[in-house]
Amino acid sequence: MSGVTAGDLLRAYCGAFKRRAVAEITELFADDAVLDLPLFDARVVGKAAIAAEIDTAIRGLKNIRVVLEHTIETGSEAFAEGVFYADHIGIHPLVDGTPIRLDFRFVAAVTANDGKIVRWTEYFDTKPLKPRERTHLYPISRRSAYWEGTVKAGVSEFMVYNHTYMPLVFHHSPAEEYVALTERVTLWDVGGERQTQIKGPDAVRFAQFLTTRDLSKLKVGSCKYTLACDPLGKILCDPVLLYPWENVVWLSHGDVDLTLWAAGAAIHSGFQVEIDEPDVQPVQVQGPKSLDMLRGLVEASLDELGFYKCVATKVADIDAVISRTGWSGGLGFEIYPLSSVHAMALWDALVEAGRPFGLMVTGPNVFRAVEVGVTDTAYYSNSGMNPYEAGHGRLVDLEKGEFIGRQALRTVAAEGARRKTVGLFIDGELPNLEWYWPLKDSHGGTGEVRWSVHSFKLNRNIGIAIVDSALQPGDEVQITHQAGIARAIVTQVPFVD
Amino acid sequence: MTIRTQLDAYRDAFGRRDLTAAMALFADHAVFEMPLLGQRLFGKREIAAGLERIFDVTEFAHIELSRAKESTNVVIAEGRLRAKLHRDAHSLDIPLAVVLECKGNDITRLSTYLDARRYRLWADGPLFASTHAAAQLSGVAT
Repeated sequence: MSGVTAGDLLRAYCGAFKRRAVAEITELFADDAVLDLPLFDARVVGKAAIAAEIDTAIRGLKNIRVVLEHTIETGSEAFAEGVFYADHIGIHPLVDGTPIRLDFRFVAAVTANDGKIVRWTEYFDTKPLKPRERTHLYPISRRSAYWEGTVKAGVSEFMVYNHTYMPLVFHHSPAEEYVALTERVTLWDVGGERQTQIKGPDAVRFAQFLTTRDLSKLKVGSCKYTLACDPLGKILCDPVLLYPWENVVWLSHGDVDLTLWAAGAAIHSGFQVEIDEPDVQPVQVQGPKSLDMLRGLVEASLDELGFYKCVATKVADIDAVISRTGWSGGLGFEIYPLSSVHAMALWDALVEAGRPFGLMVTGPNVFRAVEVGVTDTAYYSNSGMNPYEAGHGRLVDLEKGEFIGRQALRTVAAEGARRKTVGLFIDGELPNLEWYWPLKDSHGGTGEVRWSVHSFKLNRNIGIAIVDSALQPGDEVQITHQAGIARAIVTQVPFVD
Repeated sequence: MTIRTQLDAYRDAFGRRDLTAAMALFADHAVFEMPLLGQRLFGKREIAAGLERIFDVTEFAHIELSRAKESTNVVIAEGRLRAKLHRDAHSLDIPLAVVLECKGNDITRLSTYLDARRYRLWADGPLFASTHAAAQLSGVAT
């Protein structure tokens, strides 16, 4: 028999939590221990699973303090009442500066056996700790076809994207969502990601005219990451082009009225095309377990579907196009059901198929996107940025024939871009990026921080900015944000492999 | 009366919806915490109004205790809250812990720990609107 009591273990757990000592905490548990914590969706069973959950929790917290007020111990059990204090990592304060903290009073009940914890159960109210129920909506913007599923999954905040509410914030912490994306699998409602459909005998030729990459060798089943520019060479958006059927091209685009733009460009153009926005609302299944999760659900062989390839098939017996693309920078797929009528049936089937793989419903993960340097329309919009400034010169083929913006881009290519896209390591606590933060370099040059997040991989704040083209890695810049001034060091994008 | 007896007496009065018996257990300036009420209650008048609100909106509400540890002045217990609100089709069954502190024979603090996030609060409504009866019970003029 061990001389270590349940009370000893309880105090040791709290002390180790304060020191963020995950290995130390793990060793307190028996191999078959159970952990009940209101912040988790279900009981955690087994030492390894407990270690993983505690590691994730601690990655998302700093300045942890645990105060035990009453500890009562008899036999193999100890009960305690106490207070937990911590700062979140990756959750910005409210607009008035009020921090979003993880402070709560709790009761812990611990059962010990042979010097190890066999049961740890905590009781506390998570209502004040998690995002409130969803924000109000306004009917002028569309709900996605997966609305019901995202509400059930605990959505609380949306952004309006292509006139559609796109769920961004759910009730899990940023650290939990990051771990789900990078180690398991996540499901995103991106019904706001619309398809500009170009249909007709000139579909590929018109897409060639509308976008910057050469499509002359495009084959059915191919996808391409490309750009649409205006006549001045400024980026309108960076769609994923899909060619799922002969004479049908989809430009799956970010938050811009690309269908209107394409329809306008097609009028009197001489191209034999019809421009439309079909009732196709995609979801993204992203993460290293995405292939395993989808394998049994998709009629076509996903193992043979290459990167940036697509196929028209059935997913959960629902007609769809599936592409090996996505916004995670890692393994993942986008599923485009051919009608929203069966969208919720698709969603439910995906949630069910993902259960054994630890699927988590989340929004598009901006923390990971910035780390891997995957931007989107929001990076370019209202910036006047051209592809060379965005670091996307490789996506422009000036020799492919006429396309919108070609003349202007030819001039930029010849003269060189005056600005460029760089990464930043940013000091200090940062507020939410609600508008683009101006920056100055030591030579008097100016620029803008257009993305900024906490990197869970690097455990520091990072950003992506457009700056004077003379700046080099290691140069220092000064950023002005809504909470003050911050110093940052220029680096390269992506931040991680 | 031991502190565990106090806890059992409160549990029984709560389950019987016996406001008078429940209130007789509290000190005048007691603290009462119950997440489903949405706020901390101070003193007999507020506590009586809170309990009255619970009884008003529920068909039944029971606290079941499975384990308890006690010291001289504090008892901490685990259990479940089972309740059904008039407005809901289904009853609630929520894991909970209760911490009760006493001074002499009076409860000075009763804190209930449970996760209320998945539930619309009992306090969705005028918590202190029906305080007349509660005030009479606690002897405070309205």
